[in-house]
Amino acid sequence: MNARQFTAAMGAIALAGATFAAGSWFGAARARSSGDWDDGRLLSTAIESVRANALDSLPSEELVRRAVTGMLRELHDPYAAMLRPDSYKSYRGTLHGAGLGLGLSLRRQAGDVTVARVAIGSPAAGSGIRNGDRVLSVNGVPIADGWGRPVGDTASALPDTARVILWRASLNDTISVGVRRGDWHMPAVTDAALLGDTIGYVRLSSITSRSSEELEDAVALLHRRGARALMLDLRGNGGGLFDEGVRAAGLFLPRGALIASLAGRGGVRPEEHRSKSSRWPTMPLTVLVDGGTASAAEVIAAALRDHNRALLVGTPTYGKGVVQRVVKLTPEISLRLTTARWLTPNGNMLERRQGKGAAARGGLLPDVRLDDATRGDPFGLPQGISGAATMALSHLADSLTARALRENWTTSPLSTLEAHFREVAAAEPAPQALSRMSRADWVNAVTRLATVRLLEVEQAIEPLLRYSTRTDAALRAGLDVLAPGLDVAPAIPLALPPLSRPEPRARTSQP
Amino acid sequence: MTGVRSLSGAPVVALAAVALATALLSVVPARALAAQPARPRTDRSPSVRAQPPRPAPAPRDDDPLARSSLDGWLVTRYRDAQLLEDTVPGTRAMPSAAPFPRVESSRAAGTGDTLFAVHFNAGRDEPVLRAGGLVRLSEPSGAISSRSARVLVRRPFRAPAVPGAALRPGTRTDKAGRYGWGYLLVVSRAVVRTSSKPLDGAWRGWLLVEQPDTIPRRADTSRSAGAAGATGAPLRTDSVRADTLPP
Repeated sequence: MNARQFTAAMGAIALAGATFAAGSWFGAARARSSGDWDDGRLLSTAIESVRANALDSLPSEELVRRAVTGMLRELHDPYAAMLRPDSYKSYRGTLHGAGLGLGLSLRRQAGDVTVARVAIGSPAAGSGIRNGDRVLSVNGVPIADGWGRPVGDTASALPDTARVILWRASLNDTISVGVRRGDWHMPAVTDAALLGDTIGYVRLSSITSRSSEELEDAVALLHRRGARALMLDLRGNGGGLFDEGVRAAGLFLPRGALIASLAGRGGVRPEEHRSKSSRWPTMPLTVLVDGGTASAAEVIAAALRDHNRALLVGTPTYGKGVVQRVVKLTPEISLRLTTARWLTPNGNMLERRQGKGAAARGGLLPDVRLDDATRGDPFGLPQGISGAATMALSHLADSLTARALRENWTTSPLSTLEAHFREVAAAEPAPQALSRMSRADWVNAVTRLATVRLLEVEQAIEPLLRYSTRTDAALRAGLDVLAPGLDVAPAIPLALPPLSRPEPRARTSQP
Repeated sequence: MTGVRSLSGAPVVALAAVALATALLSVVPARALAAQPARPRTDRSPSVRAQPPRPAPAPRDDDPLARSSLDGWLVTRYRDAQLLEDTVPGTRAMPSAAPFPRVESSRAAGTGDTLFAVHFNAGRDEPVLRAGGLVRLSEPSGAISSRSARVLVRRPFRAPAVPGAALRPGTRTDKAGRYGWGYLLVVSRAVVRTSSKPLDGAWRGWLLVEQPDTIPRRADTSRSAGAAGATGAPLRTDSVRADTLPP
């Protein structure tokens, strides 16, 4: 065989090999396609069969929806869901910080309708409505005249445009406000203040599409005002957009620092996400966390801890170590699926396991571990007392607040204001409704309520936040890390002053 | 070679053991301290022995269970915390610019509520409550209640101030750590019954104030340990802060 024949023979063999390989691939692909088609046809046939033959069948559309829902359920993915247009819009709105309704929650109490909560940045907040206001009338219809609309979120309780007459007890007067429903942005940063001269505090409540920008603006403002250390409050922050979490963490890390890695399916090398815009890579930092800190908020906390940038203070975090994607199937139906796990810079996975006990534990364990990291509510009324006692406490606090406003009491220093309130409250005998409480208990409750209500009326946000350290163990523990021994709302330990008048019961017992 | 051999022999090992024991005296691990109650420093030199015994009271450290409980609580609460030896005589409390100790945790027990309180301040030798002393419980607002608690044990400790800090034993100026004092107190069941407070977590945030009848006059307040020891009484007073009251 000469060289030419040899070359021809080799070419023929190569061609034959290539043809065989191509044929095999084509055959396998066709078989796969055929298998997929068969699976699809099986599902379609099953649905059609159920629709046509089952005794208690459902419409085809409903059967398809339930088939998809069942399929997702069998994945054992707690975050997977089929989204209809309404739920898709709501989910998307949540991720982008879109506010719904008026941003106003109402509460019905003993025939009254009072404002339970006003969302920051909402139309209600913009119109001047505040927590605790009592609604007297809506568009001229008095509440007392059978305004029987449901309370709760005002999406259905109030019309799109309303003129509301409110009773503000601390002012001892009525006010009229107009409120109009509209699109509004729910801010991710809901509190930003200087707790001490150099200690800043920022509460990041969600991780939405502008969170990192809002966080950067808030910290920059505090820094300009003198903050040289920061307490970042991520309690109750259920997360949101992964990329925003990465950006937010990057503000406090050196440029290029690894923040998290995304590990998808199939053993592909994890995709690394690094800090791109560093702003305060050396600022002393403490992060407050609790069981409600999840997802993108955990991305921030884990990155700052793994890079030794922040001590975590609070209770163990939730442990959501996975990310989801939304896949749009049709204009009406979308699927939300878990598509990747994220890993901390040290390579740890935080996802909580299914089941119970220690094996189910995920999340981050704080460096300073508290019994209870719940955000204290200085406006809260004492638990376990009667409704009449609650009303009496509230009315007493309101009358004290009104007096302080009338007489122009100073709100600074806080301890002085508080001592003044306590002195005045203790001088009065207890109302009948409070006879079951000890004098110290009701005087203290009234003092606290009057103090916070006055601060709220005066819009003294920072003093109010400092005052909250009294009831917020996590805030105190965070301060102890950044400035050991600093008390931003010092109390004056004093015994209760004596009664200026004898108790009514004492009078009646005398002959 | 002889010199080398002697350096690696028994005398050097003994020397190292002494050095190690000296180092351990300044920072003692939690477990060791739990089993071995702290004692006041005593000088064993013959010249001191010849002197008449000092009237310095012995610290109340006769409750190993309470000490173990406090130590366990501290190391659980503050990850990587170091427990230090209480070198201040137990019945002494020092004046301090630190805030009043605050109850951070409370547990219901058979005979009464157990309270855990902490405060941080600038130095490790500045406890503000006496071991064995009675304190009044004050509301977070500062209103002193009629309830009182007894300090069973106290413990100085150092907790990390920055993440990833390796706290070096024996270094007092290390900025990686912050000094604090932990206290374990009990409120008797009789006191608890008379109040309407639920047991668990009810005391969280309350302040601890020395009993007024044990508070010395203002002229007695001094930052020196000697002055404190002379009176044997706490030096925190209400009157120190009362000047900020409204007229």
